Amino acid sequence: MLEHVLIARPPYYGDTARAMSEENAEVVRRWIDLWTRRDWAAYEAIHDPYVVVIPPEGWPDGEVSVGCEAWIRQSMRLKESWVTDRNELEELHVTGSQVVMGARWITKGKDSGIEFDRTLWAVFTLLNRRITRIDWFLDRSQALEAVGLSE
Amino acid sequence: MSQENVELVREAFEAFNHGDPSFFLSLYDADIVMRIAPPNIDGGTYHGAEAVERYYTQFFAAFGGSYRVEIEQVINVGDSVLTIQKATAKGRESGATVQKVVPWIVTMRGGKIIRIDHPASLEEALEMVGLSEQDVHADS
Repeated sequence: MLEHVLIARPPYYGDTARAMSEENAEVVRRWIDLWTRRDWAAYEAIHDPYVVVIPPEGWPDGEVSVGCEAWIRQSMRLKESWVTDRNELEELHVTGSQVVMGARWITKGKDSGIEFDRTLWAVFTLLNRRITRIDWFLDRSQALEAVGLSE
Repeated sequence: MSQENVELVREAFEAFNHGDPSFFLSLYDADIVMRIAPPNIDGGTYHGAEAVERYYTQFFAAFGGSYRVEIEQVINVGDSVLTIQKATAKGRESGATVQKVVPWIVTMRGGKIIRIDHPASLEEALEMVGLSEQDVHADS
């Protein structure tokens, strides 16, 4: 039945592909900023309404968030225990529509005052400058491996 | 990678049209998400390979194995592939033949499908991937 498969136009080659990669990297940089500033309206705008977020393996109370509303609720919950928290970008790798981010999450407990500082890894998948999926990892090599990169 | 994704999708549809949906199953990521936009049948969001498989099994059962797909266009968009398909099927009870142009978007990573979108219309599909109808018809 497959009589013909027409590759209409490969729209993202050469300069266009580079431009798309830069745009995707910029969305992830913006994601970090909005997360840190708790600007949930702008945060929502850079996610697809049906975004899926996969927590890191073994993360306490980790559950998959399906849909932007669920992910924003989870994001708020993740931040509510901290009197201060911020992300600092350490690494960014772009391959196709995937962006691998390594960022320090630096927090201070609301009640305990205990400081927490650890680098987390995420693979962002984007479509038309919107985040459609985030996979979190505790390990750099796993994040790179997920997109076919090696250390 | 984009071309590899196109080839995988093409192979999967060939297998499907020959009555073998298992090629598609082998491509599903465990955490695949499928979005069926209304007014498509059973619109909603399905998470996980089992949920996606269950949806398709029930959907195709309604056509008693007559569902066939002819791909009219395949468009690479980064790690996503937009296909514009002509789907033909016969109702199992009515016997009536139904033909419809169906846009379908898959997003892949590491050779696995991590997301499937069944948009409500071609316009919505093109908007999702940041293209216009002019883009689609430009080189066809």
